[in-house]
Amino acid sequence: MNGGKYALFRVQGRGFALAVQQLAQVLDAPRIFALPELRKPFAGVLLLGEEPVPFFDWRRPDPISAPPASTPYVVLCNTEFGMLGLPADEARQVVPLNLNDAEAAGEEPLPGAVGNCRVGEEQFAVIDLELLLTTLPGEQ
Amino acid sequence: MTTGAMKLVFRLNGIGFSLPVDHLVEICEDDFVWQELADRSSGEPLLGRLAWRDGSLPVFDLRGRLGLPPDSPFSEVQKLLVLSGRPGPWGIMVDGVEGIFPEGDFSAHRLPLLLQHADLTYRQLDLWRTEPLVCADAETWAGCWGWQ
Repeated sequence: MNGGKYALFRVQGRGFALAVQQLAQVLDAPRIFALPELRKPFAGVLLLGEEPVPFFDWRRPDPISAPPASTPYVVLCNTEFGMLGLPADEARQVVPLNLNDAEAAGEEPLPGAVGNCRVGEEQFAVIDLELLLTTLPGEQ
Repeated sequence: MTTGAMKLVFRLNGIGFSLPVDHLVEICEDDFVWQELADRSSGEPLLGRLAWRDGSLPVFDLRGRLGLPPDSPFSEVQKLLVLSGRPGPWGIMVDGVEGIFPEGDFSAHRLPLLLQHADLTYRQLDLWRTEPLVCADAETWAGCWGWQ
């Protein structure tokens, strides 16, 4: 079977799913520190202990608040280039997903989405972090 | 009196920066007299020239170089930092100065790999009072504007 256990989240009304083995921690509203000259959608860093962790702000821009806007949760993920923080509005449950049942990601998918899985009445975009990082412009 | 290495902490659009005081000539907080304002429509990095110590000081557009909005909502009264340079001193406008602190108050951290790219003017962050600051380097900025 192509799948495994996934943690479910929501951001700006959209669901996303991350493989639990890539999930490091979920932080409750950490302070985000803006930094200049970053490639979007990177917006700054948060601190995990004393270590700065990149904050990947994949939300649609808020025209009112100055970036980076605060977020209820930051999902910390492990990538081959180091840890990464993703904003989330809600943290849901962990569920088994079979990616063979996934549907196409649809229009304007979240970065790194490889398909949508249905859990109950809701759709969750399955995020491939390596694919997400390839959406960045410039070198790695 | 402290004689060890010290760093200046200043802010621009809410972002904190640390700068070795070796790079700093003077902090000016009074009214500034512009002798000349540059034509910004040409993308010129020079904001203009200020009267300073019997002469004229070139002031460069740091906000523009860093991709920050030109008018800061964080401070009405800006401060001028006069920095050392090889052809002579030059200046930048900043929103505020937190103070000058011993180097031991700062803990250096390499910028995470995911954030690095070729056009950055910094490669390191200074952790200061639980806040990451951009490690500024006056020489690098001067190089961006050909002031060397």
